[in-house]
Amino acid sequence: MKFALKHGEDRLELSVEEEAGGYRVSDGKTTWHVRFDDRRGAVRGVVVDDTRHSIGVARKGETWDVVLEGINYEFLTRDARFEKLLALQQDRGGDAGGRAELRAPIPGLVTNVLKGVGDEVKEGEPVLVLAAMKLENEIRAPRAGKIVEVKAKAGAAVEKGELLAVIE
Amino acid sequence: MKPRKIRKLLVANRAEIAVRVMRSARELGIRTVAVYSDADEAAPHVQMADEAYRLGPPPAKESYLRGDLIIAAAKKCGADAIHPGYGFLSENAAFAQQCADAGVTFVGPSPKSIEAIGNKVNARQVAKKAGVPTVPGLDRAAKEGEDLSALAKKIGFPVLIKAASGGGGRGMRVVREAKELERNLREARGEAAAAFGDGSVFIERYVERPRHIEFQVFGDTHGNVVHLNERECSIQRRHQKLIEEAPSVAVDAKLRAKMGETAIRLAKAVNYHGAGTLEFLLEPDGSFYFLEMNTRLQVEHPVTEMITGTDLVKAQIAVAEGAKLPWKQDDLAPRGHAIEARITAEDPFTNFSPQAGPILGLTIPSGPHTRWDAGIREGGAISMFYDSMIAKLICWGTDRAEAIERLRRALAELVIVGVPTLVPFHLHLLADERFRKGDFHTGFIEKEFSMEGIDRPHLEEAAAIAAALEYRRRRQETPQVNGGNAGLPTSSAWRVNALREGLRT
Repeated sequence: MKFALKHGEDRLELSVEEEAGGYRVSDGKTTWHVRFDDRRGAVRGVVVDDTRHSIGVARKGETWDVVLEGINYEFLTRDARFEKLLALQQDRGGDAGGRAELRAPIPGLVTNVLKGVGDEVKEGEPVLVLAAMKLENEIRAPRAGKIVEVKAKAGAAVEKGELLAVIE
Repeated sequence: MKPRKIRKLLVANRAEIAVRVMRSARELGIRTVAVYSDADEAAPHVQMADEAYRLGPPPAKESYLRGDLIIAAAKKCGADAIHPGYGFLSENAAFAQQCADAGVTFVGPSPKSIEAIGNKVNARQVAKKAGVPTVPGLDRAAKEGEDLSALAKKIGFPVLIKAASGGGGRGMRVVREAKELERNLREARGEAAAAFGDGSVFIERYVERPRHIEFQVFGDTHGNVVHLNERECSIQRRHQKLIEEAPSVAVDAKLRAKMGETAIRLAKAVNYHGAGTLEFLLEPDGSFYFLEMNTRLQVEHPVTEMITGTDLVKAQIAVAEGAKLPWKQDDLAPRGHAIEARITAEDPFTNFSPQAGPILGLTIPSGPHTRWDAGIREGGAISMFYDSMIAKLICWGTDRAEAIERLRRALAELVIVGVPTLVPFHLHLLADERFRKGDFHTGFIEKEFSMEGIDRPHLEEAAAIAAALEYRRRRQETPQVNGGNAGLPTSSAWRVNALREGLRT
């Protein structure tokens, strides 16, 4: 069985086959012998070749959250929704067509909208202020351009990933 | 109001500090009362308490900052004292006064002491009178709209803007150029107003490459004041502390005695009782400036408890009951070394951005001299309404090197699934040569430390393997109900049926 995984910009395709006492996992170049603790808790023992890891693994919305040596990795795994998500994520990069979208990096409260439709902005210039976790965060223009759309309203609560403004 | 024995204590706070305060109360046989917002209905501090009362909706302004509701809850349940923890109402003189007026003991200093020194502007004036050096700057809060450019020029850039009330880095800004002054003033005022309900700020010279050294003091209502040594808090980012230690490698016995004596002198100048902390900037040449006093228990108080063998919350309660301090200065010499790592839901790989989210899995470290102070458990969540603290992990060792190794060992045992955390940052920092030598200052993390080199590719592969295997297992176990839904258990036909029923609605 093959699984496609995406972590940030990195993509990985892993084949998984059962073998005595565990699994043989390969990315086409390297093959690992893996034992995987099948309990249902979120923290498991995983042995990759001879190295033991205590790995946290849990489903979080559309992704898998995996924790190893303190580092959190979010993976998209291939299923019907996977391709759609990939397509969505590519839209966010925004370079195609010269559009750049400003999205909320964290859930929070818009406390101040500094720019309006038609304003020219320089790269790095603050466009609005988002208060979250008790801090005021300036949301800056990722590149120079003209503001063509402002969705954010002062006083409104926004979710992570919500569209705030568009620069062209 | 006459001090009296406390039999029932209301803890006017949430998360780890509420849990920590209740632990000491419980050891003293005191009945505990929690208060909570709608976001915290099932939080550990609520479940731990003997009684719990709802305050209001999740925003702090409508719950944990509603002193009137808190005092009403205390009256209703017959609590004879309120412990404010840190943050929220802990340094609010008006709240301390309202407690006194309602006949409820406030576990903390008197409203007069808070008024006299808790505010940064007043603190500078007290220090001046007591002959304690402070950083050059404005001795009063700046008025709304006041032009500070001339003063800033006179002090000399860079300057630091600070909220007159409160702490923890909120409303603080470093300004390096005159043209950046106005915008930063505006934002600092906004942050201060949102966090503390008071938008006034003041400015002072920004000292480059200092250490942040603070002294724990403790007073009683009989005029006794002692210090419990210093804490080293220079490992910080955007004025938020990340690692705290006691003692500091930069403070020897002679300097400790001098700074400790200064701290006691200032506390006595305002008739201080209870736990308090005096913050100093320490320059490389050993000269120090008093910054401000925090008139409450600090987040990082456990490192002090570990090197002095004390329980500061128990001492706070004893002092609030009118007792004399349980220690003499000679009892409080530092023993060994303690270090605390703040475990917050912040992603060190994306500029420390705070992340709200669920705690899906949790393995808690343990072992010799290892302390885990948390207000969250598996199944809980980091809410966007409050700060991003998950827990504090504190280790003690016979010396600094052992304490650091013990903390690394404990961090390696810790697994938190669901939100990115500071754990990889701590592991990287504790392995850093300069940190291990003690060679750092308050700007170290922002200017001289980098997370690069930690994102090792073999780890990512192991993580990917775990994700693929877990995904595979869930798919194989999942009965294909209405197109299939990952994660349904097959162990019980009853549960599958129940889920099918649920899917129809």
